Amino acid sequence: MIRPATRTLLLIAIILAVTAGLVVYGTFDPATYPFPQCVFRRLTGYECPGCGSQRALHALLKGDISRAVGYNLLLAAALPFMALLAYATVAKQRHPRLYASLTGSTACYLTFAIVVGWTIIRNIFSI
Amino acid sequence: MNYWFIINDMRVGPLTLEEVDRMDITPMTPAWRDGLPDWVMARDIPEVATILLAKGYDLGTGYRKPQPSPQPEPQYQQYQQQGWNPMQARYAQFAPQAASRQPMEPCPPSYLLWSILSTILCCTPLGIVAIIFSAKVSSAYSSGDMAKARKMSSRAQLFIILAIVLGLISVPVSIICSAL
Repeated sequence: MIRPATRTLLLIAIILAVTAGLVVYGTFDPATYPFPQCVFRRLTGYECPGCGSQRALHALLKGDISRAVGYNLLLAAALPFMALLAYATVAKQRHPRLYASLTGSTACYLTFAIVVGWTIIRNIFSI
Repeated sequence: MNYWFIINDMRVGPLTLEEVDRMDITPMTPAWRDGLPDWVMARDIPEVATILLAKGYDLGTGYRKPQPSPQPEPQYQQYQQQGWNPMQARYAQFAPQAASRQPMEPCPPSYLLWSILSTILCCTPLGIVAIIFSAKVSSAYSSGDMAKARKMSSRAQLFIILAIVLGLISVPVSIICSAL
C-alpha cells in the first residue's frame, strides 16, 4: 500500500507534469516544431491508433475541434468517454451501476474493437 | 453472531455486535449476518438497527436526526412493514455464493481508463493487450472466479505500466533517431 504522504506527493507531481505538458502542447505546434515522433510509425511505416495525438492535442488546446478531429478522430472521440469514465471512477459510491457498466467486459471489448477497427481503417484510407 | 459490512467498497468483518457499535455505519450501509441469504441494508438487521437508532439515525431517510427520537422502536417496525429492499438489486453483485456462504468482495478494478490512455498516448501495442485483460476482469468476476478476476486485474495493470515505460523510453530514442 502507498502511504498517504507519498500519495499526496505523487498526486502533486502528476498534476504538475500534466499542467507542464498542457502548456508545452498549447504553446508549440507539433506540426512545425520537431516533437518526438511515434516509434511504431518509424519502425513499421504504419500509423498507430495514437498517431496525430500531439497535433490533435495542440489543436484542441487552441480550440480548433475540427482540426483535432482531422489529426486523430479516435482521440477526439475518446476524450469525452474518458472524462465520463474518470467521473464514474471517482463517484463509484454514488453511481455503482454506471461504474460497473463502463468498466465491464462489454465496454472493454467494444473499446478494443473500436481501437483495432480505427487502426485498420486509418491505414487503409490514410486518415 | 458475526456481522459483515461493505464500507468504501471494502468488506469489513467478521465483527461482533460490540465492534459494530464502534463502526462508522449508516442505515444504508450494505450489511450481512451469519445465516442471511443475501446482503441487506444495515437497518434491516434488527440488532444493528437498534444500534443505529441509539446513534440518532433516522432509519427511513438514512440521515442523523437533529435530536434523538424518544421512541425509536415503532419507527423501525413501520419501515419493516413496507417490506422492500432496494439493496438487493443494487448490491446483487456482492451477493454471497450459496456454496461458500461467505459474502463476496467487490470487483477488482479493470483499469479501462488507463488502458485507453496508454493505447492512445504511448504508441505501443501493449496498451491493446491491457484492454483485453481489462475486459477479462469483470467477466471472471461475474462468473464467480474471484482469483482469476484479481489475476486479470493485476495483468492489466502490468501491461499498462509496461506500455507507459516503453512509451517514455521511446521519446529520447525518437529524438536521437531524428537527430541522426
